Amino acid sequence: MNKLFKSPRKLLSYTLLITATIMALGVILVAFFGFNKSYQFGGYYEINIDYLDMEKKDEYINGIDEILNKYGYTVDHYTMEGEKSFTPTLCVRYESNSEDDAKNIKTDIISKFNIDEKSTLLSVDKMSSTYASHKIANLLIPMSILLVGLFAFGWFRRNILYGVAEVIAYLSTILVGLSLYALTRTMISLSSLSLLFISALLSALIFTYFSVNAFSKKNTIHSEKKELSDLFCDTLSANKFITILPASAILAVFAGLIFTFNHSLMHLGLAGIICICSIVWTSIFVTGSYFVSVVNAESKREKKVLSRNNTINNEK
Amino acid sequence: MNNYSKTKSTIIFIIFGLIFAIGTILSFVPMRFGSKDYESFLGAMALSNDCTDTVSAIYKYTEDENTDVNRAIDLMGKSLEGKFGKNSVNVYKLSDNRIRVDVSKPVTASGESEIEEYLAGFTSGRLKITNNSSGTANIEENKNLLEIDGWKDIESVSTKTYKGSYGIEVAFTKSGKNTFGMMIGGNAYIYVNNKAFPSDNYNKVELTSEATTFTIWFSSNEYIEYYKNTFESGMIPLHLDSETVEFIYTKANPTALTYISIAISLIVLALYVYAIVKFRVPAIMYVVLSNISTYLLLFLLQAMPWTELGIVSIITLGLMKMVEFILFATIQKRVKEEYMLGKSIETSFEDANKRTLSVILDVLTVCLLGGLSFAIAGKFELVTIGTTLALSAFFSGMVLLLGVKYLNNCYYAFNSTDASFYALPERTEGEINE
Repeated sequence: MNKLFKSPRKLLSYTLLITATIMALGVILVAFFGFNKSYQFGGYYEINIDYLDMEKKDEYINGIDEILNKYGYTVDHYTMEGEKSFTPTLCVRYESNSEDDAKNIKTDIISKFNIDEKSTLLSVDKMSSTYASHKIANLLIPMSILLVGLFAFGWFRRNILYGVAEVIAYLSTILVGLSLYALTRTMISLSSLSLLFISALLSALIFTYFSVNAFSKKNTIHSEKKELSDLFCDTLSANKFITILPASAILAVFAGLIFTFNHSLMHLGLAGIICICSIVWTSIFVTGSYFVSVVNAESKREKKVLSRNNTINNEK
Repeated sequence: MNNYSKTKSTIIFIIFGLIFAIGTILSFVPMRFGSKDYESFLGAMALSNDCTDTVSAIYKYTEDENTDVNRAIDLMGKSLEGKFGKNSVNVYKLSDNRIRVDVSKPVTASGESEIEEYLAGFTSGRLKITNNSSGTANIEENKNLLEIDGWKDIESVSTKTYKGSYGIEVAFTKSGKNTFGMMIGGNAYIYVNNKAFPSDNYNKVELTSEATTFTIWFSSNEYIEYYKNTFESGMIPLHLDSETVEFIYTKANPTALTYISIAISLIVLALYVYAIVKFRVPAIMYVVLSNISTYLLLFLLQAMPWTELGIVSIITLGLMKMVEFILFATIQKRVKEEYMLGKSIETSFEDANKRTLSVILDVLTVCLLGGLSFAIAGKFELVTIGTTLALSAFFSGMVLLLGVKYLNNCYYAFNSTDASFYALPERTEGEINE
């Protein structure tokens, strides 16, 4: 780690290059294919069918799958409710934006399973994205307030550069995380987005922790002559274990979700792993190298001014 | 550094130990505080995540000109939430003129039959007031007795106040042998949708002279909302068929979030064990105080009207506990560094606390900022997350900056010179390490 931070400007240029590459690839993928959005964001239709005979559950699922394939769709997700009920409900979701196809699919299901056309036992409805949009709007406002708050905190606490560093830690986690979601085709849902926004806060937190530790060491007699980059590295090395311990435990929890082989849980696990990687990358490497290189440049400028003043005084 | 006497320190340790023990018991045992159900830690994890057994009812209804399904769902939901808690109830429309109600069995419910009886009440009638507990009307020619004959339809419900008392006025259809008068609370039995409201919570019931409204008077507004919702549910604009109600009993089915919150709780426990093994006596103080602050936080989250204790708050709390652990470990590492510079144990602790003050304050300020942003500007679950973050940051600050230091001072009264109790390395006389 000391070697990496020996020349922080070089490290910064490498980390920015890698980060920019990830974001660029993410943008290209989103431009062509969009995000892998969950049904919460719309673009899905939901088929609800109440059936009387429990034995026919598989017949209904396979039959609906066949009908959807005929129109070029596939079953994205299905659930069953009320299995002990008099009439359990099968709920099937498929990705589509076509109202005409939905009507045709409903007609085909009616004829295939001999359902009464006027019956209310079958519905094919478009899933609204209003709920998800509303929730995202609810999330954006506090996140924006937090962004301003972090900048103000950093500025008043130390200087404007520190405030900028806090903002970089926060924003870059979100951008890198979204790009990795796009690259890995991780499903974007309200849960994965909430996880990402919480990770952004944790990223700012971790950067604050390591940087303030370095500053507090600089204020001691034994380390006041050390460069901040060295102190930052020393802090990273000294506190490595106590930060890795809980982080790796949480990583193991998310990795465990992948092995449940459940569609939504796997995507949630993947989202969690991406968030942890984003936190580590942005808080330590991107923001750390930015802040250390800026502070070192400032201190070099100060030293130059001091030595020039000394030279002038000596000449006098 | 102030050292306390052994007696004083012993008393302080006993007090904190008792608080810790009581809090630990409350973590596993739910209880009722007045009108509130206070969930245990495990109960909180079970809430709204299918970890409780569920009683469901499916009602069939027939439509007429007064049918308003959405309003009916709203009223039924409010009535059930008032009885069983917000997180425990789900009401929604099914196809074929059916409504489904799911009630997760709350900890204070006596059993599934209590829930079933309440659910059945939606179909079996509207309003009845009698002067005996058997539920039959008993008409007497005594103007101090209030009598309403048979079942009536509720037309409107409103609240009012009069000289420090709180009342709910219910208007109903006039018919039959109603008489006017007043009844002292102990003699009035009100039935709404076949569910009895005995007189424990109200002072009196009075009927107007026109015999079209009655008012229930309470000495406090504690039960107003609950009774109002229940009476309004008697106005459900939906004819539910009592013959075809179907009850379904579903066993607990934990979701992914449940497992994540259990995992995070176990991780925090493991960190506590690691801290005690690594840092010994100061870590024991820290673990006790951290747990006491957790119990206090769980209590506050349930007491506050804008927060709901559930999986989301448990996960947020777990993450904050990990941050707290990292800060505590940082202090202890600093103590070791100061000690190896040749300082005494007390001076090492003092200087370490001073030097790590900025780290703790800055980290917890960032948490507080995040918490306040979510709590003030967010909605629904974000308010709970924000409140949990902000309160955790505050309590962590108290634990790390004041609590651990205070208890360490108490411990010095018993043994202040043996470095092994503080997990500090052996140091020969005059040795200094840089």
